[in-house]
Amino acid sequence: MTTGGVGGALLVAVLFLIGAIAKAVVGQEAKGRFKDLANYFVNRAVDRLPAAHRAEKRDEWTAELYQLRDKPLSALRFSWRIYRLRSMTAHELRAELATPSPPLEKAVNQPLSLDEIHPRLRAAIEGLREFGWRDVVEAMHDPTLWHVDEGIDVATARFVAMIGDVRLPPGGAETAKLMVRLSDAIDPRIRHYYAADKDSPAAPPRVQ
Amino acid sequence: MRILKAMLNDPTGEWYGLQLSDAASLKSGTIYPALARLEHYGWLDSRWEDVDPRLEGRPKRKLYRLTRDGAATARALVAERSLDAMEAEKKRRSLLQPFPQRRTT
Repeated sequence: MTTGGVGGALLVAVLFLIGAIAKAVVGQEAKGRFKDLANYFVNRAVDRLPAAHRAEKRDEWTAELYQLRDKPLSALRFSWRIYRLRSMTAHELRAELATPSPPLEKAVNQPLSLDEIHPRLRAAIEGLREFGWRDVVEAMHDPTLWHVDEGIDVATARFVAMIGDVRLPPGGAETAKLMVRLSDAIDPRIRHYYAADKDSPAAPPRVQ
Repeated sequence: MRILKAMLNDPTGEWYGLQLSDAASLKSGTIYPALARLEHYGWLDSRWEDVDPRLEGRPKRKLYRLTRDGAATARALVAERSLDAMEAEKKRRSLLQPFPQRRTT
């Protein structure tokens, strides 16, 4: 091997080493910058949220960012998307604040007053409508589901007013069947309107 | 819908946001408006992890799970979508069928 050949190889090796060190240093700095930017986007997104939810969402998103601490580009993408959708998240959280459902621990095996149960039903109905609701009871064939006959058993006008333009199933049915799962024990004033079992004596007569 | 379907694979399980995004094949960071809405409907419930961040060396995560309402509704919606898909497939196939031969008397 000639002197020039050895020298050339050595030069290449040194240049390669310098390049690798530079990449590591720059890479570390870039990683740090990405992390700062990701945190910046999360903080800006949190600022847009209702005050009641800010601390919680900041903690939640910070914890998620931590999961991506070794993937700076993924973390940046994650935080950018949170930032981009901040208005939508804020809108959903405001809706929750405006019409809160009764706390779950109260809803399960605890009496619910009519005032409490209506927001919960309304929320469930809105959810079903969101998904292009239609009568899914027959599809389910689940005897443990509770059936609510809209507008027949409980204050028709009130239900219609609450749920707006819910479409009734085709065929001219007078009632729209909804599938709503409620707690086992509910306020006696409305207990007779709901039954776990269609054939149960507690079930109201069904209007055909 | 994809979130609910993903959670149905483990109806009693608890998921944090990134995990759910992966499971539902959604882009990370896009899931939170939907989670807020589903929680508002009463179909999801959430809680903070029961860990000490100092011992774990990381922040607590927020975990989501299906409520009973949510699980029942999710199953119904998935069933409905399956029915829709089956009906659409039947219709598509019927359209491909050759026309019935006319009877000649």
